[in-house]
Parts: sequence; C-alpha cells; structure tokens
Amino acid sequence: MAFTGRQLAMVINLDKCLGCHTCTVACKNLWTNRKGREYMYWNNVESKPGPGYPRNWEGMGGGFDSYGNVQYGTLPTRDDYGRDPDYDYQGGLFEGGGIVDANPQPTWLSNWDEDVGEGTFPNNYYMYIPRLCNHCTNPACLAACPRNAIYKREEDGIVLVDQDRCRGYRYCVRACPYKKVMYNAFTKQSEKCIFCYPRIEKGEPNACAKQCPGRIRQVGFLDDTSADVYKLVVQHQVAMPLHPEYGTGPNVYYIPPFSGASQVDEQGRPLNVDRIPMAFLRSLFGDDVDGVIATLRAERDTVSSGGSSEILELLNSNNRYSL
Amino acid sequence: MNTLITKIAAYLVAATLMLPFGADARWGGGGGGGGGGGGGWDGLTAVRVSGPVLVAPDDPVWASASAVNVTLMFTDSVEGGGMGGGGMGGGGSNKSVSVKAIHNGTDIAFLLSWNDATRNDVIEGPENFTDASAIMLNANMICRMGQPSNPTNIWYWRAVDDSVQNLLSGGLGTITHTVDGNNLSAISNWNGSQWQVVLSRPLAAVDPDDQIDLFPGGSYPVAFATWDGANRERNGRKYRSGMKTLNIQN
Amino acid sequence: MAIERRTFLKMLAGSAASAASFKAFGLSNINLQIVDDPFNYPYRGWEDFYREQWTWDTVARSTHSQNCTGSCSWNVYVKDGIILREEQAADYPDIDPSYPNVNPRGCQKGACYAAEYVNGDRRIKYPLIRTGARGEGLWRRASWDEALTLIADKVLDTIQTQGPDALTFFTPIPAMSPVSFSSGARLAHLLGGIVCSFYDWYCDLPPGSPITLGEQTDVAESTDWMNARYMILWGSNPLQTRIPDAHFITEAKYRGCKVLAIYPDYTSSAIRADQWFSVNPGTDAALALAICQQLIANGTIDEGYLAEQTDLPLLMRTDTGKYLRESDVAAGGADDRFYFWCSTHNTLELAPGTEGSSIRSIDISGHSPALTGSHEVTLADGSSVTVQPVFEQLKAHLDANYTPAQAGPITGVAADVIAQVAREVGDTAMATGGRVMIMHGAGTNHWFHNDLNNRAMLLMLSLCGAIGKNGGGFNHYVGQEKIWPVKGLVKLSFPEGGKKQRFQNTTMWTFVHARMTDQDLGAEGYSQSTRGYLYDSVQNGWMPLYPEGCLGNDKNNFVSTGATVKDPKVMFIWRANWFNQSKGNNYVEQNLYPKLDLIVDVNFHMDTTALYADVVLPAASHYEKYDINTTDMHSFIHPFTPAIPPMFESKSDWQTFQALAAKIQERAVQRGFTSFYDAKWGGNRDLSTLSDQFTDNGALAADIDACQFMLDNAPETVGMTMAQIDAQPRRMNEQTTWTSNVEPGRPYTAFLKMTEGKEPYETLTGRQQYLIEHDWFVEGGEALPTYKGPVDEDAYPLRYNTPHGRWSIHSTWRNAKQMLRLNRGGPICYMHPSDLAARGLQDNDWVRIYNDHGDVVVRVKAWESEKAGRVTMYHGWERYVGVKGKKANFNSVTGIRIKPTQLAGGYGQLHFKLNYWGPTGVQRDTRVQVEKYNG
Repeated sequence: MAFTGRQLAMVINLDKCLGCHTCTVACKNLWTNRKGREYMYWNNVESKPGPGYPRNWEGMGGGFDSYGNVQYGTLPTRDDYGRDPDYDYQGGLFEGGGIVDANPQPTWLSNWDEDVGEGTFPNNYYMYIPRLCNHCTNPACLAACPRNAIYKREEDGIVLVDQDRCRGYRYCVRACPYKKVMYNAFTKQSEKCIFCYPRIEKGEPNACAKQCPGRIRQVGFLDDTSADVYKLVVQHQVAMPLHPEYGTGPNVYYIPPFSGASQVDEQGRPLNVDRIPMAFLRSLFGDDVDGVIATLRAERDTVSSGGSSEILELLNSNNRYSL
Repeated sequence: MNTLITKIAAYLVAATLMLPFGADARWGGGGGGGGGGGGGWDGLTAVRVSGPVLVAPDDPVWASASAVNVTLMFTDSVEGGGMGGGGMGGGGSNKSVSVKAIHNGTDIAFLLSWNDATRNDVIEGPENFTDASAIMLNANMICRMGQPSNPTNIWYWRAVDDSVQNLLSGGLGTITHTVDGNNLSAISNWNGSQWQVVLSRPLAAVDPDDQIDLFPGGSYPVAFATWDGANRERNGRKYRSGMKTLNIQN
Repeated sequence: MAIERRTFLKMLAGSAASAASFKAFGLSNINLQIVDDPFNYPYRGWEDFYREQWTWDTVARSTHSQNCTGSCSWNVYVKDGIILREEQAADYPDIDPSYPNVNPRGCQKGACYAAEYVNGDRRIKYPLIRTGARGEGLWRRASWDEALTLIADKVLDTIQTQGPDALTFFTPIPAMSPVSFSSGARLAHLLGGIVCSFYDWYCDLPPGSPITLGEQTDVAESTDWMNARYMILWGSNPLQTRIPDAHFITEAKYRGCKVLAIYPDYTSSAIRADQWFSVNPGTDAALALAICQQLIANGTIDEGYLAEQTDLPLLMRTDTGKYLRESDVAAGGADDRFYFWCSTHNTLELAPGTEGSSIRSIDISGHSPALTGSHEVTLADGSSVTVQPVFEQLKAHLDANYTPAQAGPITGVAADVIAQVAREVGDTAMATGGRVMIMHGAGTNHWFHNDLNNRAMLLMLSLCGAIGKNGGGFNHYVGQEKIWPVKGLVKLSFPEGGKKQRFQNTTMWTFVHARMTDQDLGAEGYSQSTRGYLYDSVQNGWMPLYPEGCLGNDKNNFVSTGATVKDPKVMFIWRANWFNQSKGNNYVEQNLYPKLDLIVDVNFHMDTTALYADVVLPAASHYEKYDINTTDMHSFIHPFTPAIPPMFESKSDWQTFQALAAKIQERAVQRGFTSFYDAKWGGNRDLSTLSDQFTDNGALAADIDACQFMLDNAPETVGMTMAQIDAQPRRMNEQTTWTSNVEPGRPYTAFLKMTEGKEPYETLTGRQQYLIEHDWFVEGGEALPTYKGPVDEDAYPLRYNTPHGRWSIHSTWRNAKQMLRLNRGGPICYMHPSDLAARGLQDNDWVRIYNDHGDVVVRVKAWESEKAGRVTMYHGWERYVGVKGKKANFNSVTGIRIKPTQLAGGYGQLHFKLNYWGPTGVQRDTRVQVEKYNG
C-alpha cells in the first residue's frame, strides 16, 4: 500500500522567519485551545540549535529503519512538552493581594530556549524553525497505528488521526520522528495538525500560512506546475525536507537560511566564515543543503549586481497559495 | 468506491458461508448446556441469585459464587513478545485474574479481581496509561480477537474514567466501539494492591448485531485480559487468558 | 462523498434475506469497522468534527489599539454572540504590483486578543471603586451613576478649590484610535484641564529630528524599504518590534539590498542581516560621526543636495560660531535671514526659505552655494568678520575628533570596519541617488544624549543625499506618531483649537511632581543641575508646567529641595498603563500618587494602573466599538467596528467621557456652579451645557459620527466614509499635511515636499540644520553634531537595558497567558553567561536587580548573545506578575533624567509643541547590580 493521490505541500522560508510565533498562536486559537489540547502546539517555532518542542524530540527516535520497518521511538512525557503555568488574575487582582504568580513555576516550556542557540559571543548563532506535521508521503504514524486509525487523504495527502477510531494507544506518538502527533489526555485520543483541511477544502490556506506576517509560507499541490511550491521544490529544488534521513518523506519543505552574516573578530571584522556552521545545517537537511545554499547565494549575487532572479522573486511572492 | 464495494461483498460472502457452522455448533440450542462448551475447558459458572447483581465487590452475594483463577499470559502484538512470553520490555511471569459470575435471570455480572500494585486511573499526559480489564465473549474459537466475518464481543473496562465499553473485534486492529453498548455497567474498587471490578449487563443483548444474547442454561466461550497502566500496557500489549467456558446456571 | 461502509452494510442488511442471515449468526459485522488501506480510507464522516470548529455566524473588521505601529486590519469572528477568534483581514490593496504587499499585517499578540482580553479573566466588567489600599486589588462594584457622580463631584471640587489645571488627562498616541483619544481630550479641553504629552515622555521622539529637520518625525512606510540598497538596522529590532513589517527587510535583500545591523548584542534582527558587529552601548554617535568623516574624506557626498537641502553652505561667523545674519550685515536686517556664498557669481546671497525669508522655497536654481571657502564680510557697524560655510567648520570638527582611528576605541569597532561601512554607504548612495536608509530604534534613542545620536546619523544620511529619497532616510520607527488625518483629530479633540488648550510635557510634569532625584550635570558640560535648567525653562516661558506656578518663586529652594507649591489633584488615564510605564516608578508611587486625590482609570483589563486607581471604569474592548486606525508604517486607513456590543457594563471611551460630561453638567447645575472664569484664556467656561458642547448638540453623540467627523476634516481622508474603509482598507488621499504627499504607485517616504517640492523645512534656516546656536547647546559644546558618552551616574557595574520586545506591546500582553507560556512564564532578565558565573548564578535563578532608585526581583536567563556587562529586561512587565511577592517592575530601578538642551526654547524650531519639542524620558543610561535572590 502506498500513497497515489495528490499531495499538498508547504514551503517555509527559514531565511525570512521572524520567530514571531504568529503561526503558533493562530493555530492555537483556531484548533488547540480546547479541552485536552491546551498543551499542544500543532505548530511551534523553535530556536535551533536547541532542544525544541517537545524537549529533545530529535533524540526520541521514530521513523523508519533502512529496511522500511517503522521504529517506535521514545514516548515524550508531559514534562517534555512543558507544564504551562496558570495565573489567578481573578483572585489576585479582584479579590485582594495585588500579586499574581505563575503556577506552577515553570522550569521548561515550549519556547524556553528562545534565541539561545550555540557558540560563543560574538559568534554565537541561532535560527528559527517553525514546525508542524509534515503530512508525510510515508507517514510513520500511519504505519505504526495498530488500528489503522491514521490515514492519508487521496485528494490532498493530508494525514489525519480519525477521532472516532483512535483509541489513544500512542504508537503514532512514538513513531513520528518529528513528534508531531500529540496525545489528548481529556479525550484519550491522539491528535495532530490537520493541515487546516476545513479551510483547504474551501480554498483558504492554512491559518499558520495565511496568518504568517513574515510571508514565509507557500502552499500548493506538488503536481501543480503553476504553484510556487512546485517551482521551489520540484523545479528549482531549493526547498528541502527536515531530517530526510527519518525516511518518512515530509511534505513540508524548508528554504535553509542562506543570507546571514559572517563570523567576526572581537572588533567586528568579518571573517568570511558562516555564522551558522554548514555542518549544523547538514544535520537538519542532509548533505544536499550545501548545493542549495550555493544556488541561493548565487541568486543573491545576481540580483546584487543588477540581475533578476526568479527564485528570489518567488520568495517575495504576493500569491503564495495555489489551492 | 468500486474497490470498497468489492471488499464489502467479499466480507458478506465469507460471513454467509460460515453461517451454518456458527449457528449450530455454538449457541443455536440456547437452553441445553451448549455445544462443545464445557468439555476439557475450565468452567466458570454464573450462579443464579435473587436480587440485583450489579453490586459492590464486597457485597455478600458474591459469596454464593465460587472463584475461578484464570491464568494470564503477557503478549505484545505491536512490538513483539508473543504468546505467554515476556516480550520486549514487557511483562515477566504469568499473572492471574480471579473471576466470579452471578446472574438473576435478567442481568449477569462478573467480578474480576487481579493484583496490581499501582493504581493508574489518572491520565495527565502522554506517559500515563490506564489500568484496564476486559471480558471477551466469543462466538467461536477461530481467532482470539475475532475475524472480519465473525466478530467477537468485548466488554472493556478502564480505570481512568471507570467506564465500560461494548466493543466488537474482527481481528487485530478492528476494535469497534459500538454506540449501543450502553447497557454495560461497572463498579470498581482498588484496595491498595488489587483491582476488583464488577461488570454487568442484561442477559438480553441491546442490539444483536453488537452483543450476543445470553440465556440461563447456556454455555459460552469467554476470555479475560488485564492491562497494567504502569507497564504502559494498552492495545495488544496486555495480559490475556486462554479460552474458558462460561456456564450460565438455569 | 463515498457512502460509509457501515451505512452501506446497514442498507444491505435492510433487505429481508441478508438481514435474516446475519441475525441467525448472532454477532454480525454490520457495525464492525475495518480499515484495510489507510491510503483509501473508508470512514471519513468524522471529519466534520474539525470542520465544525471552523464555523461562525458573523465577521466584523477591527484592529488593536496598544500604542502599536502595526495598524493591522483583522477580521473578528462571532458565534452565538461570543467572539471566537480573530484573523488578519489581509486585504490591503497593492501600492503597486511590483512591490511585495503589506498583507497579512498582524502578529501573535493580535492573534490572541480575543482569548486574552475580550474573554480574559482580567476583563473589567463593571465600574469598580477601590475599597483597600491602592494596588491591593480590593474593590466594590458600583453603578455607573455612582461612579460618575463620585468623579464629577471631585472634578468640580478641584476646579473650585485648585483650578482646572490640577486636572490631568493622560492618554497616548492618537493614531491607534483617535476617537478614543479625543474622548477624554475633548472633555479636558472643555474643562480647561491639562492634556499630557506621550511621544516625548515615552522617548519615542527623536529630539534630533525637530532639532535638525524641524519635524517631530516623519518616515518611510515599510514598503519603501524595498527601494533601499543599503539598510542599517541601528538600535532598532524590527524582527521583534515591527513584526508586520519585518518581511520587507529580507524581501529588500532579495532585490539587491545589503543589510547591516548595529547592536551591542546579537539580537533577533541581527540574524537577518548581511553584516553585524557589536558596538559599545551608547557610542553610536561616535560611530556615525566617523562614518561622516569618511564620507567627506572619500568624496562620496552629494554636494548639490547639501547646497540646497542643508545649512552646510550657510555662512557662519568664525568669531562667534553663529550664523552670519542679515542683521549683522545690514542695519535693520532680520536675524532670521542667512547667507551663502554663490561660487558661480562669487557673491554673498541671502538664502531663500529661511524663517525670515519672504521666499517660501529653498530652490537655489541659478546659484551654487559653496560648501567650502572663507570670506571676509563687512558688517553693518563697519567691522569685518571672517565667515565660512558651516560645512568647513563641520569638516574640521570631524577631522579633528572623529576619524575611524579615534572612534574605534570608543565604539569597540575596528577602524577598518568603520571605513568599510563608510565606503559602502557612500558608494551605494552615489550609485543609487541616495538609497541608503537607517532604521532607527529605541536602542539608540533612549540615551540621555539621544539628540546627539540622532543628529550624527542624520548628518551621515544628509552627506550622501539620502534624506527625502525613496529607499533612503532616517526611518525612526519608535512610537506611533502618525495620525494621518491629524487635522480631523485636532478638530475633534480641541474644538477651540490647540492654542486654547493646556498642553503639558509629561516628562517635566512627572519629574517635578514625583520629586525625582536632581542631577549635577557638570560632567556633561553644563553649568546647572537639572532642576536649575528646568526652573529657568519654565521661568523663560519656554516650557509650560502645570498647575501653573507650582515651582514657586524661589529657585534656590526648588533646586535644593524639589519642593513644589501646587499639586495636581485628579488624574484621568485611558488607553494607557501610565503608572506601570512611568520611569522612576518608585518616585511616582511614593511622591506623586499621594498628591492625587482621585485617579480614574478607564480600561478593559486590570493592568497595573487600573490596580492602583481609585475608580476603574469598564471600557469596551477593541472588538466592541467604532474607531479608526493609522500608522507611520503604511499609508492605509481602516476602522474598528463592533463585532458585538460592549460586553458586561462596558462602554466605548467616547461614550464614557460623554457620560461623564453629562454627569458633570448635571452635578454643576445641582450645585449651582454652572460656570467659572478661566484666566488663562480670559473667558468663562460654561458647565451647564458641557454635555451639549461635548456632542456638538448631538451631532457627535454616536461613535461612528465622531469617526466620520474626523475623516471629513482631514485632507488625507476627506471624501471617505466609514462604510468604505470598512469594506476594504484605503490608501490615503494624495494631498497630506505631512512632509510628502501620497502618490499612487509610489511608497511613501518622508521629506519629498522638500527634496522634490523645494518647500522649506520647519527650522530657523528652512533647511536641515546642523548648526544649533542656542546658548544651552553652545554651552554644552553641542552646536555641531558631536558625541557624548553614556551618563554613568549610577555607581553600579552593569548597564541596564529595557528594550521593546517580541512578546508584548509595551505592557499589553505582558499578562497574556498565551504569551507568557511561549516564553518563560514570567518576567525575566537576560545576562551573558560570564556575568552569571561571576555572581554564582544559574539560568532561571531568581535575581534581584537593584540600584539607588529601587529594586525588582525576576528570573534570569543566560543569553550568550548579550553583551557582557549589561543586563537586559524587555520592558512592559506589570508590577504584579511573577515578582516574588514584591510589587515592582522594570521601571523600579529607573529615575528620570532630563537633558537641558531639550528644555531649550525661544530659538527657531526649539519651541514647546506637544510631542514635538519637550524633554524626553530617557532611561538607557541607568546602571544596576544583580544578585541572587533567596527570598
């Protein structure tokens, strides 16, 4: 059994991400502000390098081995997602005291290490990476579900957890190497990003994409040669899946950060050394990232010397959705 | 759509072919002690009592029934550790569940008691799994979780919300929670080292599609299972028994 | 839609034969759901589960009003009478299809306004009257009538016993909701109360702009960044503070722009730059002046531009250091007419367009004003004096003090890096006609010597002809100064005109009435302390201070004690968290608040100011009222419209102040106090018709009528209707009251009326003015752009930095749960790991930040990007959230410092004007210590 339908894809330009989390909050208030979903960020933004959300998800396993066998990774704990504090404003501000403290006092939250990264000043580095379900071509969550309660829609490739059928076994949570299936302790079922299919079905882009003030997301069908995503993913091949080695065939693609500053000496002299080490980018996107970055930098050189670039204009597009 | 219809048609054919065997051999007789029921299997007798049977585990009425100790073996159908084995990260040695059954001509009740040192009835996060137990009432012995053409009926109780669900199973991965299983009731108690759970239902099925009718005097294949939440048991990762026979006293 | 398998089987089962077969077998599989192929899934009826979660009954257009420059149009979704959520409308028209458009303007904070504030648990539902101590959070619910009566009586008492200038009205930034601004301002106007400034108080005002350009601020809309070919992010952190606009930075890069970031820390915006280096905090002017020195040395200056647009060709006397005036040269000549030397004709020429010139143009066609040279001029008294263009003096000043080699050790930036930047700036400007811009922010604007930072950067851009150019300019994005239809605002707020309104610079008012610590300014080159200059400024009539006469007649007494002789008595605060955001927070609490008999806060949520108020009136949220909304970041206008009526007992601000006007009128009549004489304006104020005056006899009673009135009375919006701007945001009309018009297809940039239209600047010289001869400037050695370092007066080891951040708009959203959960759940400060280690601190420890002004307890985050020797605490934290039991905030360790030159008046462009010229509330020079907190 394999997927033979049409596939929607999203391209996210990390070279342009603001780290503002509007995507996260848009998703939160549309989908995950309901009972049992409060702790969930179907879409989150994490600073990299860093443990991300859930904490250290990249070390939890999942995906497929080289023989195509699904791998059951570690099940994240509630603490790995962070214990959201609450605030008794009603009591503190209206019933006396005039002080409101976080309860519980947090020691870890989904964006705890915002802007932290790695390295030593003045050459430390960090980048933002928004993450959502990759709606994989070969979803490990789907393969792992002993009930076949996870499926992939033929018309758009959106991967869904059937909320009637799911019995909350959480094998999908373990198998997803991106840890983007989450367990709802109230309904006792697993849930995940639904790629906003109710919107998609009406021709409206995903909330995370449409509400992105950084204008970094493009959405369309991979077989639609007029779509930005087709041009960036298939034609120009400058958008890359995150952790391709996990073997699930993600359909969220990233433009790697390519236009950042150089390392500097103590007095600010550029050293012509990438701040974000290529080795780190390779660890995210695989070895092909070198070529992609070279291509994108060459496009910038072209533009800076007065030429034009179809790729860079695609990244400035006003018409980012083809649904 | 076309593919779907073809598949469904196949199920129908299979079901129809098996019909005579099922009807005759298993419970067609109704009142007569039931086909191949008793025989070499351990018998569990549902003793006829008067008065209500949905009663607490410590109710004196349970004294009228004798307990059958049913051996449970670890299995993990997802990650391995099969029949009776330890399995990957799974259970160790066998466990057992003590089972009693009573009925009053209208309703039937089971009392399942099994050791569990940890009470897992709160699910706060993904790492929490509920303690649970189940009774499987089989139409036949062909497959332990039923077949597509020949489902089994499972009463599934879970500690987390102290609820009991009526399930159909037609093989691994086919558990279906039927909406018309609301005639199942449970009373549970955890005494510090042991779960005691009473599961009860009218003898008459609420919907014969989803439950089998039970009759005084009848014999029915039955099996039991428990899940220990602390061992992350759920789904096919569980302790289960072999087939037993339930005899319902006239 | 495929027929579900279950349904299909039930259909089959319905026929007699098959039904019988199934029944006979006992358990059927009719209800059994089996999935064979997850890529061809049979049971999809459940999908309605999520579809139903994306449904609503009605949608309304609105936006947010938090002193934010976003001005982002949102759709608000309502279901069953409840506001569910919001989403950017994302329907701004294109300025031109060749530009990336401004959609979808918005940010994460706007995206949770409904959840956090409309429906949040801090919502003020009813009028509240304080029952405990201020700040204790103890209230009783009152009726509107009771609350308004209490307030009205106190207002009347105060007018009778103190005078109307003891009534203080504070609300900031009209642009974000001008009708709401006007509500209390109009009442203040009619009563004779004082209306406080905000743009200078919050130090959004770049004083160098009025000094140099004669303009409060005017900037390019963010779309114009696309035209830049060299962009310097200088103390501005747009990735955090201009979220709806920041995309243009990278988009400009993709069109060939180079982006340079200059910050001490490797902050969020630096990661989007092509080049970043760390500059020593507060040394930016030295860096800019060194670049200026290099631009001149390299010859990459636009001489034609300088000759026309700046005072650099104007002649200055070498003996006095002041301009050569017509009054110097000719008997009876004006002292506001100035000269240049025409190198074409070798003649002394009066410059057109100066303040005293009859020519209202700076067009110097036919002349070539010389930038260099030296001339002897015979004065009216027959004596002779040597004069030089300002440029000559400036060049000498730069060459003597600001070579890269000199600036290097000051700034921490290598001389060759400074030279490299200067080369790139100059070359790019020369090649592109000035498409070099500085995006300027509070990081450099909040220093004591902020005017010097501004002037140095302005000079750098002027030298290469980059001000008043698309893709260029000093784009100072701090604050929300641009209420596009400003004339409509003024007419609605101040119906008798701004000249008949008591306006008050809030920095001075707070400094005096909160009895801030005085500072000896000798080290900065000044002869008096702050209080001395302040007293003189008020005495000279340069700056107003209310209540009038409050400083008394004994300067020495005031300077030595800070004591005043009259106090403010009643304070109205709306659309603001004034107390929380007040620098010198402890002084305000301890010295100013006790003077106030009544503090009225109008608010939709219980912020710190509301918590410390005496009466809190419930305000409609931004989704429950009409208003309009504009920004300097784009040239469109769009409205607030009510998605639902005001919730609970809340009212729009326009209705609240209208109701208060009616109550004051009612009580005045009842008390027989129907009018009073206002000596300042020499007329009687009629209280018996106050309500009618407020509504203009009913014509402005409805909020939407007030909105339309504003649209009708400004050239930018005349002809537009509320319905039209509700249907879709509209671009401003072409003619504006600002420094450029809004041309179709062309992004707005500032000062085109000057560079293209040759209109004079609003300065003494009618030009960008780099020589300021005011005595206080001369005394401080600041006549020409110069560098002065941070005022290191606090004897503590760490610099204290309180920038604007990602997670709040000032204090709003600081108590938003969703935002708190997306960072560390409470107030934090950032320090370099080495500074943590030196204090035995770990990440997430509680720490006490302290100095002589006070202290605050927060958690610390180890942040490698922070410059060692500095602690950063993003501003806006409420005094009551997560502070370990001690009410305090980021302002508990600040005071107020006033720079004497910003009290100056009586000179050309240096005259008091609300929010245009008046001292700024600076705090960047603060120093602190940090220690582990074990309480």
